[in-house]
Amino acid sequence: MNVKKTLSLNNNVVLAQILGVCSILAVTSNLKSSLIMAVSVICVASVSSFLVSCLRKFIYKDVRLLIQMLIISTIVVIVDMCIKAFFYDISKTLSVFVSLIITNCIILGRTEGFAIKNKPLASFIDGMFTALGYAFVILSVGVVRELIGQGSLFGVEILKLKSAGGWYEGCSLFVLPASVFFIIAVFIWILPINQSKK
Amino acid sequence: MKRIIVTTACISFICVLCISITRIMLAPLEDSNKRMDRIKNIVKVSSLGKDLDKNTSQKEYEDVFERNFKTIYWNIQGKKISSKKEYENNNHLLYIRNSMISIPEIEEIIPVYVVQKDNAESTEIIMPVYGKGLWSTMYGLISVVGEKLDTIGGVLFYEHGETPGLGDGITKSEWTDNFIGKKPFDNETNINVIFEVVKGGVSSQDKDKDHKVDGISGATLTSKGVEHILRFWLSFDMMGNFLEKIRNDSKFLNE
Repeated sequence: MNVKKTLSLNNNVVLAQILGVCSILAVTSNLKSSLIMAVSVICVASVSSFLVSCLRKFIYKDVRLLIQMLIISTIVVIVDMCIKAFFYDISKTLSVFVSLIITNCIILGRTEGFAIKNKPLASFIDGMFTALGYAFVILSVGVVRELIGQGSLFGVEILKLKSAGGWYEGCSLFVLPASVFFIIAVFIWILPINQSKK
Repeated sequence: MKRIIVTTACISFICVLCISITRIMLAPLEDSNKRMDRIKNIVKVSSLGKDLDKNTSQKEYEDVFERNFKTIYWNIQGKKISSKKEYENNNHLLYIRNSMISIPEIEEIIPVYVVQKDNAESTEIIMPVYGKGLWSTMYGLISVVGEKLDTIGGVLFYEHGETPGLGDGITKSEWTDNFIGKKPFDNETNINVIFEVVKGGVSSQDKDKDHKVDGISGATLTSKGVEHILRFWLSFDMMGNFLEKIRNDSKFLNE
């Protein structure tokens, strides 16, 4: 278990492996929903890795994917219910995507690739750090999109918009989901990611 | 083989148990959130909502609602329901064929909200409406105002699955504000609904422009869905009946 390796950009799930982009497209138009999505994924990834690892002796090879999906979806449903109970306003826009965490390949990838062969604690940490890598990207994209698209962060005005009497003209491209492709491409370009190993 | 089935069944059972327990624990919170959201929307669509803005707290919305709104349960067959309990016990689904809103069944009893302001010179009625748009059922609220209940005071949609970026314009106030002050009924009888959402925009010379609203460009079918919702729910078979009763009998609401 190598924490440094898991956290390094060369192993970042989104930037190096290009996984989980779908959910980033959907939720990053403002920072608040990005943050909640990031926290949800961290919870789900770490807890499901932990549980799969705990149960790895009982998970038979023939049905392992089925049981992993079962565990992941249980946790996702619970997280979704918590969001509905405590952050109702956000859940109205986010609920669909939270349910879609079930199909987020990052999580099944970690349980199938790591947790099923390793000890619970190591799996927990692995799941968490992998999800942290995802959180890093989703939050950065959230900052870029909200700042350039709407001139605010967490809904707090940073650049005064023209429509509110200021000087800044929001770039509507960044409000649209497709802008994520450009932003992630620019990240991959700028950040020092060593892809020659792949 | 047997072991696989038993362990898998056990794990499934534990998962189901976890979900059930969480649901039971969190259900009251979720339900109160839903109720608050409904109250918020009702206040927003009414004339009282104009004074409130983003910073208004949940508590204030609830206060305004408690103080100024009265809920009346109305059976579409033409009967007032006396209590909330009766409403909850007797709310059956009513089958409607070939209706404008393209929904085969609707709830028989409709909760209507009456605004009771301190200096009330006119009546204001808020009613829930729903109907099919392009992809989904759109849920909203309509407020009808005026001495003769002939004017739209506001329209608000709070739940829908229309195309993001085009059809979801129905939730934006830039569009729904167009409805304020429009006359959904014809001038002579004040009963027939002649309201229209016009593709391409209403010309300013149109002599019927009080009965018309611009459609959303790029979302013609969603806009038509909104027109159908208004035509259906305000028609005499549905809520028009109720409005007519209020027009004719001023004491009707206070009974």
